[in-house]
Amino acid sequence: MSNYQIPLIRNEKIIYKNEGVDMSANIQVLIVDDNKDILFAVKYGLEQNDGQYKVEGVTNAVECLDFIDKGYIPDIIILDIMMPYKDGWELFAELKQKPNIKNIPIVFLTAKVDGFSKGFGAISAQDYITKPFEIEDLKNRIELILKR
Amino acid sequence: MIPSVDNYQIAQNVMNTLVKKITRRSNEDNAIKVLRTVIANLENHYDFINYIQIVDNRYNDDFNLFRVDKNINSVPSNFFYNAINDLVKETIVQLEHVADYFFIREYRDSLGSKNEKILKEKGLNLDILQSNYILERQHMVIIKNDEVYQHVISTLLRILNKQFTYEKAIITMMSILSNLSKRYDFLNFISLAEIPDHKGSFEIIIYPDINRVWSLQLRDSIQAIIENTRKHMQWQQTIPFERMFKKEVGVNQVLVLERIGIDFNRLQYISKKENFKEITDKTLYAIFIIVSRITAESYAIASMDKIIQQVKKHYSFLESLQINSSQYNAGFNALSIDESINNVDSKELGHALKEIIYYISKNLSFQDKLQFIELIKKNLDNDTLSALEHIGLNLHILELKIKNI
Repeated sequence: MSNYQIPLIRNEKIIYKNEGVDMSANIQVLIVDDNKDILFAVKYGLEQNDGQYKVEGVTNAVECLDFIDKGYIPDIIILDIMMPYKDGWELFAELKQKPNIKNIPIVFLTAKVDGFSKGFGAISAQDYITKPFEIEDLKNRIELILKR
Repeated sequence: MIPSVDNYQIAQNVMNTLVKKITRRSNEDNAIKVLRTVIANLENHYDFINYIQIVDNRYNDDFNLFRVDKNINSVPSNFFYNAINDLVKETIVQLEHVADYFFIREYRDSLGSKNEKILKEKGLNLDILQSNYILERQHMVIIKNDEVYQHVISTLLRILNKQFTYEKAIITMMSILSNLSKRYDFLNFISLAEIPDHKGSFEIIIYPDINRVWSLQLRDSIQAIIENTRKHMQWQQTIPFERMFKKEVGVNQVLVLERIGIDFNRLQYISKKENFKEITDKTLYAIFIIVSRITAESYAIASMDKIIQQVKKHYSFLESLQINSSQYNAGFNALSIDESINNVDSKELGHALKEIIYYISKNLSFQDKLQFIELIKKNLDNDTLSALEHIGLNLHILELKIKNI
């Protein structure tokens, strides 16, 4: 398996949320990141080829909670930490308070690389991935978590 | 005038002498084995004994079978010399037939008169130790563990019976022994059984296998039985429980118990000072503050919830800690601690808190682990740190263990 960089293509026209979620894919991924380039890279990287993944992206905690409250239940949630209004730590705790979400694995995907953030992040989250990252690595880690 | 010598120098000297003497009587392999066992046995009583590490450096240039950490100088003198005293005694016990009357004399001669004087001033009189050794050898024959347990349990049953009915006293003691047998499995050799043809009357049955139990385990288990009985009774009387126990058990038995190392002062100190609810609350709050400063209050409490759920698998009494999982936004206020935590065994609580700290720090790097422990210490007042030490959680030693991993 080779690692490759996903080209970061800015396409402002892409709407990442509430756009008729395709539930037929095997693995539903919800990613929350205020950087649309990251959202696009993850969506493009995971969804290409076999169609095993369906990625929904939102850019902040409010949109994420709105999405969840409308009944969307993903298989895994990927959270950025440094986001405006409500950061990934707070959003994590809020999601874990929701009975229908609390058992869904959550992975941090962040530029915070200090040892304490990594160590404390790994207590509750299923994984702590630092940016920049390889899409293949992300895919492998998601598969590993879902296998568990 | 006795020259001033620090703990480090004394520990170096004592260890050097012990290694030399044991090696001379057996071999280096045996010296490593014996001293490792001695340190491990003393660990339960003196956390700081870990400042002395037994290492096998025989094939390196700096030939040495041990290493002493200079932090040992921070240990208060009285604790230090008690530990050195026990270190020598336990070595003799471990050496069994290899050590004899002359071992102590040789040990004393090797120490040199200057160090012997220092030890003597600090309460470790090798002449007395030598005489005690002979007496202890006799006592090994005279004192039997089963008799000690018999006296202790029957006395505690009498005290329990002053407050509870006879049946409840029996049930309480059975429950104490059963709980403690998870830590001291040899307590399964003790049972309370109804006397045939005397319905409602019980007798203490102790299997002779219990006589094989080491003295330190005997001491620790008896201290735990006494401590747990006091807690079950929720002792509120003016006279301290330990004094009542001493009065009931009788002078001769008190001497025997003191000889095997029961520290009634420590037991009394714990019963006076302890408020486990407060200690637990303060320790968890210190951890919460550290984690929340890096992350967020709601995340910190959610993480603590997860950790406590994990640690509960080994320490069921942590059911006394409840975190409302629908109230993470309330931060530390989502945590409640039930008063029943005051009734748990002190050492068990110490172990559980230690496991919580280990769990949180397990994903941290070496340096961050040390910094994490340092931050916990900074966030706790001296009284809580001292109380934690009394229940077996010494944060200085934890740092040392991390350094040695």
